[in-house]
Amino acid sequence: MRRDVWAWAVLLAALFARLLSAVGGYDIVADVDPGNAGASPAAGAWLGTDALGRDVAWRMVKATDAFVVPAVWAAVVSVGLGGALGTLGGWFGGSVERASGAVAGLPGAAPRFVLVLLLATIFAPTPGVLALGCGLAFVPQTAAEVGARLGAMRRTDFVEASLVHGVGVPRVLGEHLLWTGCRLLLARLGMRAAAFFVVVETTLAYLGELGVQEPLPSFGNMVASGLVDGRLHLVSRLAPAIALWLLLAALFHLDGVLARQDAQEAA
Amino acid sequence: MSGALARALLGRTAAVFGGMVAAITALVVLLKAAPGDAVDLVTTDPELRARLVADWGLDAPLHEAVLRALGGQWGTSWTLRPGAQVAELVGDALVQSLPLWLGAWLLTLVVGVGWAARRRAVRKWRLPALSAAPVFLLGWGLIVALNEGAFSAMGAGLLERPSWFSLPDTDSWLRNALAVGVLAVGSGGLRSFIDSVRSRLDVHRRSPAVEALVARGQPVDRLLAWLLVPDLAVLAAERGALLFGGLVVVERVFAMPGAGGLFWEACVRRDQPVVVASGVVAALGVAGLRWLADVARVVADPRLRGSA
Amino acid sequence: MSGRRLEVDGLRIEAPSRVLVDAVSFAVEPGELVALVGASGAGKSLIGRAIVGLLPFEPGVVAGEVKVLEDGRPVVVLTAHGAGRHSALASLRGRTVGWIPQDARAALAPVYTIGRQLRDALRHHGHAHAPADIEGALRRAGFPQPASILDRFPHTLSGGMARRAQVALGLATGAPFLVADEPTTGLDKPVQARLVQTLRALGDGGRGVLWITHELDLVRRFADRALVVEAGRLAWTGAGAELPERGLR
Repeated sequence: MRRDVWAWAVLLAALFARLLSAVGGYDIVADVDPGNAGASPAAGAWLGTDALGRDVAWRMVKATDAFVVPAVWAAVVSVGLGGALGTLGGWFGGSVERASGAVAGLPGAAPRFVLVLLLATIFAPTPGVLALGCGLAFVPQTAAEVGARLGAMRRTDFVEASLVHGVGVPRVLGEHLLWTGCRLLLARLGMRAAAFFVVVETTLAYLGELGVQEPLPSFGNMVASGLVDGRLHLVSRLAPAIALWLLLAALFHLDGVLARQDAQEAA
Repeated sequence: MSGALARALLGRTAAVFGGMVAAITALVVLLKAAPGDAVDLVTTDPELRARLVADWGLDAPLHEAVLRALGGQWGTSWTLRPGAQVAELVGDALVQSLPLWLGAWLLTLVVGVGWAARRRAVRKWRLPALSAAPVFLLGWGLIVALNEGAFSAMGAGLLERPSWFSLPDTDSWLRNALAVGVLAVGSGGLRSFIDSVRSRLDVHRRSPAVEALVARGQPVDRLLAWLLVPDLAVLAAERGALLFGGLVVVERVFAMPGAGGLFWEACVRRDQPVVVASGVVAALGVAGLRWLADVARVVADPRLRGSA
Repeated sequence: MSGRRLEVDGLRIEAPSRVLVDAVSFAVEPGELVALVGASGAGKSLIGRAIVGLLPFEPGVVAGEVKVLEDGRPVVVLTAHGAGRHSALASLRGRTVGWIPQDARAALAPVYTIGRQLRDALRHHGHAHAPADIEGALRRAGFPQPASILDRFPHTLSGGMARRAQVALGLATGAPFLVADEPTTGLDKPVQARLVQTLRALGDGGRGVLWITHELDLVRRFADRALVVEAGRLAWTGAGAELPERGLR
């Protein structure tokens, strides 16, 4: 448990930063101060300033706007749609399973990043569209894993006995199977979709054009500006990269933690 | 080839390519359903607009649009390389991307299987730590570190200007090698591949069949390898599909020509024929990999031949 | 078969929080069919797995000795202490003690035909492995038409056929002793009896067979000796025909 504290702390820090961004009153325009460009870390700017004299630490806090809430939406789409299709297939089996599997498999016909870019091009690269794309990208995996687990549990004696004894299907399905048997699995799959959104958002911002555009900050565009501007202090250049890497490392680590816990509960 | 094997392969082929056709149909439906009209990006003049709509087949019925997309009739580029045949553009770009994709895929398979098969405990934190970084971040880190390191060394007189300096603008062996490595390792790809292979290996090592061989004093490596083939085929196909998406990022980060960069440019400039063609080719690639994986599974595991 | 004898001496098997098997000592002579009976969870299968070297003979997990004696002299000694564990395991597994696992079908390699598996086993243990030899092994295991089994995969076999295939594989090693772990589980009564008759015939042919089971009627009919395991300890030993009803509390 002590080995996992760092990961939970990073996740909480990201959520706290999002909250701070909403109430902290940071003004991305008013913060511009070319005379203070490339300043070293100091009391007024803990991580230094960028090429326009803006406080890097505050920009990093503001950058969480770009991914925290949309990442949650990506998780909701993946778990909601994928979970629903997997539940249908796992519970009913047979032709229902084949049909739901075929529908769930549609987004999987394209590589995930390509799928997101396609949707962003067809509609618009807004956070909502990107979140939808990232969520859809994980629907096939979510549906397959939930369906397989539910299907196996459906055939157990205790489920048959519960149904025969008059326990309603919603209760058996909702409480006994989905909540008791699949909640950690669903949490993991949702976390993966959320992590994928973070990767997509920051990548698009790094590459430019389709991502978050200046003056709005994103970890991606902050890393990109650090690449080209050698005047910046090393800490200012590295801080967004390290924060992004830590966040993703934490999400991957927690995926492993939940997987082990899930395996223990299953045993 | 036995009847059961042939039937199983036929069934798998129908499922895989049927899924691909359904996905491309969905793509065409989405394009038609999208708000606005792509031709509005080029002109609003009514006469010119009508001509372009006719020329570009934007008013074609759905089934015709799907057949054209599937049949490779992608027309000409609108905004990226106006007038150029999309099929040629995409084909040339694919040839340029193939070494990068293949290199990363093979690196993943060789390193991944080798690492997963090690019985000794490996220091777990190193690969997950590295692999957690997204592809662009890994690339960025390497480019900055190598350029700045080389620049400092040149400034101190310790080093002659290397042939690869400076990344990524110079076409060099180092740039290509880094691109392959970053594509293979980034965004948790290599790590999750290793975890999956190791997990499947552990399951097979504990299986009654392997245990029975151990009890008879017989070697287990060949059986383990054969049992792993179906799992490895599926994992390799998934990994290959993910790498297609990674190409977009790596080719941009390392300024390399290829299908990924072409797709990105087409998305930015809303060149619909190139976007559609790239989407179709990507879907075909994914379907092809999955089909190969299915063939490998059915050939390697006789239990699958009854359930096509 | 030879003047060899299989001895288990002071076997103790521990889990992290409890002792599963304790102070178990017995021997199997060549030509004997010895039944190891007990209720589920008594420790019978653990004893069998320890004998074939499938449990880690390490301090804190397995203690005691599994020995093979030839004319009174130990030729193989498997113990948790001492440096010779690996060579003892190599001598024991397949060469001295064969194994017929409980889950017969799952223990067959799913991707190889029965013929291929038998050929590999015969070849590894230095026996002739021509098609006639393979068919001979299947015939000894009770297959009336061995040629029809050679090209079949395990998932196409019935439960009884899978068990007989395991018997054939156990015999293919040429080991003078066999441990059969609940070989009749899941089979119909007539098929059970035929399988046990095959084990009896192996005993009559000079092999020592340790038969793990909870089929008391069959034990009384076929076993030379019976050992009753209760809560990990030997509670009774005697002639198979005299096995008391108490055996499976």
